[in-house]
Amino acid sequence: MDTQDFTAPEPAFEPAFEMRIDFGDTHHVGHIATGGARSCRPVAGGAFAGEGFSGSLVGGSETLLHRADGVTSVEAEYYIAFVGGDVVHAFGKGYEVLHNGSRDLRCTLLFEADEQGALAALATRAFIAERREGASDTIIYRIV
Amino acid sequence: MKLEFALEFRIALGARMHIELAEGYTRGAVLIENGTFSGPSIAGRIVEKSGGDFPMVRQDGSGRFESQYLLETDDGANILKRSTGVRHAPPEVVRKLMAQEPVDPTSYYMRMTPRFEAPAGPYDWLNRTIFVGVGQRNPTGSIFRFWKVV
Repeated sequence: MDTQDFTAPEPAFEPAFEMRIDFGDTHHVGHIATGGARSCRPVAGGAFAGEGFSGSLVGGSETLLHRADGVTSVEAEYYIAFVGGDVVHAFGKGYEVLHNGSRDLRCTLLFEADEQGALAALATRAFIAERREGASDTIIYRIV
Repeated sequence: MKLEFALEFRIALGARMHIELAEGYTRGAVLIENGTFSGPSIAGRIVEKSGGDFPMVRQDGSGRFESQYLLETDDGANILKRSTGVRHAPPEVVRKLMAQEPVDPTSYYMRMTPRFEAPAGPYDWLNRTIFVGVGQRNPTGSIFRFWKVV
């Protein structure tokens, strides 16, 4: 493969934030016509911290589709109220899959924040979230 | 988590169209003329007239990508590729990118997170894998490289 003319930087991760999510009871929609079983874990609370910022989870959900191929796809959405008053929206898509015997959640995350607010820089980067099976914290990595 | 190289795309782009949604907010539309992709366990081409890139571009240089098109592997499998991404760049770099002028790829942040729908079989690892990509605009088109998160 000729890659001589490709000079863009190779991406990497850097840990940025930790998020503890308290979920409410899971809602089960059942098996849907487009394939798979739909369910939703609503966010009931939690905490978000890193890089000098901290806040509380005030809303959101992880919407799951347990697909016919055995993979669980996840659409995640979180609302975080930061100390100081800024509210940020994080959203992304990913999967729950087995990694070395652990059924881990991995999803992409983008942020929406007030452009004049203290968290505006969050919206200028892309992130990956990972939560190991049984772990209480979701680790959010910035893609650099 | 670590990154493992998975795919490289080389794409020739058609003319850019614009939808001026409001002052300072533009939806771009760039249809893909043709393209190829290859990686350690996969190769093929982009299906003609199957889609393109539809970025939301701001005057200040920030932007969000949304793209969708179909792939056909060398052994005949069709795969749907959809991607979201972020670009953040100084306004002068954005102006050059929009004008398809050459820019230093390290002068801006551009990362994509594509998702795939592949048929059951040798490519179904695409259906359960998170990817991270970077892009580069060359005079003749775009090059994207994607790494899988393993």
